[in-house]
Amino acid sequence: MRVIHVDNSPERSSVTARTLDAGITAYNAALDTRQEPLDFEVLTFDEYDALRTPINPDPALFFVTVSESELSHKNHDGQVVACRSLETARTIAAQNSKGKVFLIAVAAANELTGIDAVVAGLNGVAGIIDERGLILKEVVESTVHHVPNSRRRKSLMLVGELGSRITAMKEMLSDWEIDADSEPTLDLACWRAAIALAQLKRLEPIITVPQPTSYSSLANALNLNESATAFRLNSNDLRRVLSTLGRRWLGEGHDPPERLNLPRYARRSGFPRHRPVIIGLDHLKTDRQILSAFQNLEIKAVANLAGMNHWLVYLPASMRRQGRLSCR
Amino acid sequence: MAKLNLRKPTWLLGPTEVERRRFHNIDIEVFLGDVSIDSIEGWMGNPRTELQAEQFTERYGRQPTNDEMYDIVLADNDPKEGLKIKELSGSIFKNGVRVPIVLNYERRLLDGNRRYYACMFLSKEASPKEDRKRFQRLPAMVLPKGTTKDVEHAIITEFNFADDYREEWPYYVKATRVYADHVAGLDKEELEQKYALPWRILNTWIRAAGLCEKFLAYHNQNFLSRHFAYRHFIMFDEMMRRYKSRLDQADFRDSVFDLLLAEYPDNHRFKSSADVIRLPEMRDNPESWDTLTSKKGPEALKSALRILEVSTFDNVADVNSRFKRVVKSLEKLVSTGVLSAVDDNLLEEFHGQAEGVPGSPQDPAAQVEKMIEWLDDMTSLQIASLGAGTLTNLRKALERVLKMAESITNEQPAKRTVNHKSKRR
Repeated sequence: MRVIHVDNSPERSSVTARTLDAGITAYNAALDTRQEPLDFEVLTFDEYDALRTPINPDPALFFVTVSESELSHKNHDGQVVACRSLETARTIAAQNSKGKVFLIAVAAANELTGIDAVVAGLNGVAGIIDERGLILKEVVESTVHHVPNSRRRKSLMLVGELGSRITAMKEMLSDWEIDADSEPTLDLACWRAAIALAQLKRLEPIITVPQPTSYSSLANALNLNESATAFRLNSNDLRRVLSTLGRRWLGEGHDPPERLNLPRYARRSGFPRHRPVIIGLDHLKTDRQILSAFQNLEIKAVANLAGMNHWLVYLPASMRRQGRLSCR
Repeated sequence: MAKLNLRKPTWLLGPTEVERRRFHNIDIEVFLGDVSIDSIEGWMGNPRTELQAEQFTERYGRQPTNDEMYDIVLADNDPKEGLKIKELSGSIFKNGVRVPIVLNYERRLLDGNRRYYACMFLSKEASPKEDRKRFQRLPAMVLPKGTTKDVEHAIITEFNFADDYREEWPYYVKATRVYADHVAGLDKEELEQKYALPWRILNTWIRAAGLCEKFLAYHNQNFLSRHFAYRHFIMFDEMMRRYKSRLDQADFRDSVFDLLLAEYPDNHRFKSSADVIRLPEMRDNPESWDTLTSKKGPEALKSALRILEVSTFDNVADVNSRFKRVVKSLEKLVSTGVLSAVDDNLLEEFHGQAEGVPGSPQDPAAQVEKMIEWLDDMTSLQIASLGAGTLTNLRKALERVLKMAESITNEQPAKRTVNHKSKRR
């Protein structure tokens, strides 16, 4: 069975490739003679891009190293696009229907959030493995046996801390749902504003406004950042949205200057620094799809593999095909 | 007057006139005509909006586009010092643009940024669709080709520093501009000539801007410090006027810088320039300083000033003026009816102290005086209604007091001279 690792460095020269190689060697050593061993090879991103035709025969497993510090960026046309590794993973998933694509989260790189993980799942990725877990034959074995798609649901395999990040985000949404002081009609707006806030370093109104920490000034400031966040809402609703987020994240009796740090609180609450991208969907639909995914997903802790948590996240199979789901 | 090329700019619309104008002691021929708002852009280097543009550049690593700048200036709607584009557009909608904008030959806007953005606002969104066309062109004054940068600067200065001008740049913007020229090496005469203001004023601005720069550096140019400096620049002016030498002391200066930004902007201590006047005195009075720094909001300043007042008052030699102030405070407390809330121990202490005040109600002589006053105040009807028993008791009481006094002092009590009012009816 073929295993292809798409990495930044050729052959087995990177730490990630050598770690995966060791994990696969350990896995192969434990097989009995009737079982098929894994055949490991490494391609650089350039080498993968240079392939004119899909790899034949379909390899069973792909691993793609995610080491970028920016998970998305604007291209020359001003469109937000995923970073190279995520885009490659999505392309592989689309081109190799029988293969499974796993992302390798490199610890030193940008920390993937729960939202990034769910978006990867929506983009066809079968799982995300923390780089440190690759050394374990149990982890390699799990990737071999993982079934990502069934008729009723998609299953995303996670090894590492991502599962707890998804759980935390889901719990936060449950808290939002029972928040008696909020307006249910603004739930989607709150979610979208949180995603927009997390992309900013700071939320600073223009210097000349008299009350820079009022929610009205901050709403204005967030709308002025539209070119960076691709988010805009009418000032009145946005003022109420920010006031709701401020109350939830900073507490009732906070010092108003603390509101300038709302972007930091958004990131601390699990919203990603870089706008997540779902191919074929605009920003509004992407935000809506992610919220819907979180509202509908189920998460299960499967095992502890030598200190690494192993989780399965179940997403409704209709999710991606349907394109959009209704949101409250 | 310098020789200039007087060929009409091709982008100037409608009938064009050539006029001679005088700016800042320079005579110059200019073109007067109309210009389409689509053919020009807002003035990016305008000091009035430079702060916002800088903020944007710092955030995105590029200059804002004209449309982004439009969003930014429209949001600057502070009723006091904001650009108030929407208000101006209301006036333009009714009256049109009365004063032409000023452009150089290369279509760079030198004056009229607000009029330009107001027309943009009206033509894009604020006026009914059928009216929008009329705001797509506005009257313009165009400098001839070859006008030097010096003349352009003179015109910009003229329009924004001269006394008779409309929305002047805020104090911060003007002062920091002068300060930048000063740092760049312009001397006293050059600055006076450039800004047409006496050195006395320019020097005040330069000194205030210098202090402001230290303040910003102390706070690493963070957003709130920049916001404070922009809106409360006058405080730096006040501080430099009042206690410049004290501000040379780093520990004092740093503690003031900390305090100026503490709990800013929602609950800060200083609202006006008068609030910073007595900071050195407070710093020298530990109790006052402690109150100022430990409490929050304007109340902190009030309490600290009160402590300062009391301690200043303690040092006053004239007992009458000191006592007058005590009585005045007491009067205020009594008249406002707040004394019912005073702590019992405090009341006891007060009355204890009051006993030591000459002429207090507890003083026997004063009590007798009071009694005499009561007796003298009695009407004939009241006296007639007193029964025989009451009068006997009164006589006996008076005899007892007199006898006791005689036996103690062994002499006839001195006849008192009573100066009470006789109010018999």
